[in-house]
Amino acid sequence: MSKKSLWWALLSVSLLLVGASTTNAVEYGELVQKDGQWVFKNTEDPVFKYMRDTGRISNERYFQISEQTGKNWIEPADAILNRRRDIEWNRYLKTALHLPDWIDLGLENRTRFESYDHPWRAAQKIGNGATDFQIPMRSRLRVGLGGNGPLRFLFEGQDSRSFDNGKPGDFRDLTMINEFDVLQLFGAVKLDNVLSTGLRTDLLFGRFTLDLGNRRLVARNDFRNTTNAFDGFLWQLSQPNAWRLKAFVTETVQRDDVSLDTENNKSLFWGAYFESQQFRWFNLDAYYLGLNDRRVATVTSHRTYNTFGGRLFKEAKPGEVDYEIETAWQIGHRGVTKHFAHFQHLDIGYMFNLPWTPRLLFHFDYVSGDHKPGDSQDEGFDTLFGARNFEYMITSMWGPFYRTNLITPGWRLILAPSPSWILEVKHRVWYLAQNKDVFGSSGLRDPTGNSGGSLGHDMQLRARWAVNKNLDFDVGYIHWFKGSYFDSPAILAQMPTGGNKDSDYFYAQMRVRI
Amino acid sequence: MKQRFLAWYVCVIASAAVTPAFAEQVLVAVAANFVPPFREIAIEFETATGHNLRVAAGSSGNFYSQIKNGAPFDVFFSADMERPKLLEDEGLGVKGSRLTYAIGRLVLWSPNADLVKGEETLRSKNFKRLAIANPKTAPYGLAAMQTMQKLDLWEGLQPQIVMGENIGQTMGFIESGNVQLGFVALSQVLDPKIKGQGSRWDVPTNLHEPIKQDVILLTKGKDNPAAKALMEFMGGPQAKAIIEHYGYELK
Repeated sequence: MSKKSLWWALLSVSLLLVGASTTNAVEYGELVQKDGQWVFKNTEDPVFKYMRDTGRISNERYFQISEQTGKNWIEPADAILNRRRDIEWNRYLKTALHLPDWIDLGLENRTRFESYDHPWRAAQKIGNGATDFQIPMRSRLRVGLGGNGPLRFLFEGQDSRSFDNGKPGDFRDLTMINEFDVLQLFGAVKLDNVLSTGLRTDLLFGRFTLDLGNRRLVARNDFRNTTNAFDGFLWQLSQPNAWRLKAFVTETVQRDDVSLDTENNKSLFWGAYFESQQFRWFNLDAYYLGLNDRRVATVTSHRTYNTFGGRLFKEAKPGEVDYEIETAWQIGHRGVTKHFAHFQHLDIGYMFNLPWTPRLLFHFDYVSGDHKPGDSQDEGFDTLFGARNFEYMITSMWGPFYRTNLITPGWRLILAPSPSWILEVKHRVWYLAQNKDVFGSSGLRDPTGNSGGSLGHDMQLRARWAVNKNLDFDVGYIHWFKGSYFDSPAILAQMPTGGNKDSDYFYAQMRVRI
Repeated sequence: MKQRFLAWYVCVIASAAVTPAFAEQVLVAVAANFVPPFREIAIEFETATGHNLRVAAGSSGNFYSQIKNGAPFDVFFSADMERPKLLEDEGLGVKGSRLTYAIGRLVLWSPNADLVKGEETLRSKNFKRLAIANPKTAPYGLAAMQTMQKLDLWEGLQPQIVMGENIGQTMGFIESGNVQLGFVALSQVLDPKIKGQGSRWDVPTNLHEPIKQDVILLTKGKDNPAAKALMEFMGGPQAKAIIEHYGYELK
């Protein structure tokens, strides 16, 4: 056979193989109107469909897996602790390995590139205002046993590391690095319909992560590369879709960048959190959180706080006003100093009933700072284990603003061009609540207060594209117009060279979950 | 030699190209309660005929309004008889093509293995809440109401009745434990996820009007050979066996 004939033959075989492939001719989806035309939109998961079409899973298994969404989702034990979107995604690996439904297996990796210039932190003396960048990477593995219960077990491991940030002056600490560690490891008991009352109760024992309310005071860190965890008990009682009460007693987990994390009996954290969804316009949270932290030898740093708070809110809906009010009051002691601090938050938003459903949101936060450092009273609010990214600004190596000693009004515009896209513009203005107190965790302070409290303002642009629940991209840019506070001689002396100039931050990240 | 090879090649490619030409595509709207058996029927149909199926699953009411608004479905499997009849009267369905493909069976079901012991369970009122689908919009809810009326229990049970928008939500009330028992479709109880669990009473069919589910060939599909083939397939033994396996009765 000539060379040409051989090519023809190969082409023919390949065409025949394509033609004879066992593609399944049944598609499932919905009919939707797009630009005045009716279009069939396939709603099948392409990976599961591929597994079925190539015979890797049976039709029966394909339909079983496809149905495991919404109310049929197999709930892992940490569903009562953490946001559903953090733990619910299609388990491709588990399906490919033909594991039964009572086993959960999931792998996640997030890799980010981020960069910023003109560092301002007192600890970053070296750097000379040059652009600094790093590549943080976070990987998680979760293994659960027990399916929907009543007895369940969950292990979640996390590996957090960062590349290209080893130079002097780079940002590298326990918020970035925590190699090969146990993030969650607990057993749980779940009882539905307790004593035929329709109530559900859960009891957990072990190490767990935790989100409470809107995550301002206790959060499973999302954007940060490492994650807070707690060792202890948690009990929940709930009337599904109506109300729930959580109570917990824990020792906080101390992260170690290379060795295994350990709990510390000198850092106790306990509390109770009640949430009610009985009235759509008045969703209500009420909470008490206790902290007794005596880890360090310096007695003046010991924290014994009781935090009481409440939250009232309405979820955003097209064509409706929404709002959120949160108030938290903190009493106790910081060392031998009396502690009394508070935090007030207000959001008012409106979602327009227009294409891209634009939502305009106005924020205002007042967070108390220490009125007179060195006296017998401390008024600096402690944000405990809270998250900041979702309403202040991106954290990770950036994140200058902490929920302490701040007055900050701002606005945000959120657009959703399609269900998988979110575009966001944010602008906030920043002032110190007390000029003599420290600025966030920067280490900067002017004890005279002569530097004023104008920290400037920032613009943030962010775009998120969730291809599906298993793959998403996130990119953002921030320009921080620094205020007059940074130009004062007392503050200039504490910062790296160029720290008073405006800073730019950029990041791009990808997350894969299988 | 070269010519023979080329001829062979052309024949092979032509046959590969021609084969899909016989396969037509049919766009089907299927009521949510009938989706589990229809999945099996779709595989059998596709294997037997080579035609392609595009399946949309949802509520019959939603499909009815979509079809009225010009949605290009070829075939509509409704959860009731009324909507296919309306479509036929309105000229959107092919006259004479309507067919009762399944008759639903009503059951009283509880996840509690000791609770349901026949109609005496209803008479004892030894439960806090009883779930039914809304009789005004859901055929299974209407059948549940008729059953209780026939047993002279409808008025007496009013304080304990909780209504779901549809039969899916009604099942959700019971599965979540918020309601101890309720009237649902036998096909739901035979779902592999809960088959064999709890206790049930298969309501005798003489206690309510038949829950007939009709399929209709829509005018959009009247010239589509695949749509016609699907209508024929539904009357055949393979489809009937699957439908019965899922707890439906046949005419």
